[in-house]
Amino acid sequence: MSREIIRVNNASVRFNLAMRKDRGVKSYITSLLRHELLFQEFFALKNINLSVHAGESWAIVGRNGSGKSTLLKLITGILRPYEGTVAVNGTIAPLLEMGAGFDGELTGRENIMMNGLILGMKKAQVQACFDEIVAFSELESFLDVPIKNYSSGMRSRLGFAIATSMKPDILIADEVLSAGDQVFRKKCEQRMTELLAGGTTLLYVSHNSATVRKMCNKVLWLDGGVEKMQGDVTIVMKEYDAIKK
Amino acid sequence: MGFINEMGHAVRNGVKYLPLLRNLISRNLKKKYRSSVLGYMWCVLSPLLVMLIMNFVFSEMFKRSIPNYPVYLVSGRIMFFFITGSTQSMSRSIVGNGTLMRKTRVPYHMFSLASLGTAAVDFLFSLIAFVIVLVFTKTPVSIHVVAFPLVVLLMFLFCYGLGMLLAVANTFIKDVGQIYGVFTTAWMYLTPIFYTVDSLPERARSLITQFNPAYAFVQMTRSIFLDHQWPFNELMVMSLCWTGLFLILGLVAYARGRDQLILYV
Repeated sequence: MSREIIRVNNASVRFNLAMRKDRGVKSYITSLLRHELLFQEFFALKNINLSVHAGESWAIVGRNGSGKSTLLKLITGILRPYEGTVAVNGTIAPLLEMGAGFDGELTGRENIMMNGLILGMKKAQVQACFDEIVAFSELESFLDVPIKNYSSGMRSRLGFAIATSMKPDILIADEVLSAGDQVFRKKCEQRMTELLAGGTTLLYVSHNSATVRKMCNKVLWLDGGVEKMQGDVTIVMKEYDAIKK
Repeated sequence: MGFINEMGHAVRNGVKYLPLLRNLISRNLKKKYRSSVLGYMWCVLSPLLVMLIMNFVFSEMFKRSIPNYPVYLVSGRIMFFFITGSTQSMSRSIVGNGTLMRKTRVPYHMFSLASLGTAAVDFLFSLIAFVIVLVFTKTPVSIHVVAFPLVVLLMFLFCYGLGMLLAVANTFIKDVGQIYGVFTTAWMYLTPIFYTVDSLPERARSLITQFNPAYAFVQMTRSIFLDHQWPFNELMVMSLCWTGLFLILGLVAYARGRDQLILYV
């Protein structure tokens, strides 16, 4: 068996749902003095266990608000667990949103460098991948246009091209293929398959059962912040699709 | 020694993320100047024009009592406005990058450092305007000018500490930014930029000269360029104390608040 690359151990994420915004200063101070809770505790994830080995391709499925994105953020290191531990053993390319960190005022060319650096690439690495990124995103003629004039599909293409060009150990993708046209989606799927073949581990959030079945070999099914099921793709997706119908 | 660890961590991160920092700074500058016709000329032009106006407005009031008034005014202005400008923009640096913080893993203080760096580049450009004023007023420059970079470095560190403190505080309590905006107005009038500290009543004067860090930085600059003296005096001691205090406060606030910040942006 290949080495373990991500280990999530009994992890929970707690948010405080702030309720004090619509309260006045006076009631805020009095409730502080009375030691009343100023917020409602909310567990976005509760006691999650997950062990991902290198080269595996995991899908995380579940309804809206079930904690899928929170789990990705936890693994990426954006959020810290309230309880439990998360250990990651490799470089991560987080694609939590297409073109997160793009600056509308900058041109495509400038944003490639900026976004690459934000993802944790080295400058030389971005420069080396530059032509490949441009070719993949098919934006040759728009490179010197400020990105605020790009369509959302163009932004998605560029974002995907940058994140996948860094050939990370772990690619974390949050419903990234929902934007973009059919042709580009095909291209993206192909790119992800190539990365998987090259040893990259994939964590993928999707609502599309067909894509999950095609791309992934393991599934974690979340419901209301707790694990409902995890295991091989055929077994879990059978249950999952049965519930949906 | 959490503080020492924090410093070490900040420095290591700083080295690793240096290219990103440089990129963020140049982005800020580009966005500020690119769309204008004169572009980067404004870095020099804008302080120069403001100095001309202030000189015009205040010179009749103070000219007789203050020798070489243009240099007096300009040296005070560039130092003071770096302090308030950089710290104000740092106070917004973490809240303002909430979207990036929620989607990527860039250490938050990179955004604060980028704000400071942008202000620092603007400051260096305003020094060109300062040199122009020095030349224009035929002010002689003495050997003491070699101490100026030290004063500037100290000021950068002071602003880094104060700015980090504000950036963290402003993320948890959004009122901090508003309060600081008002505070800087008071601070400006309490700092002898266009008047001299001697023209104040005794009590106000002793308070300002002993406790106002901006006064220390402004006055050390003037002792270099106007009095041709070394700035190694009690003002240097005072600015060192303030710098140390705010560096500790800022970094401790960041270290203790870091894990919580993401929940408040």
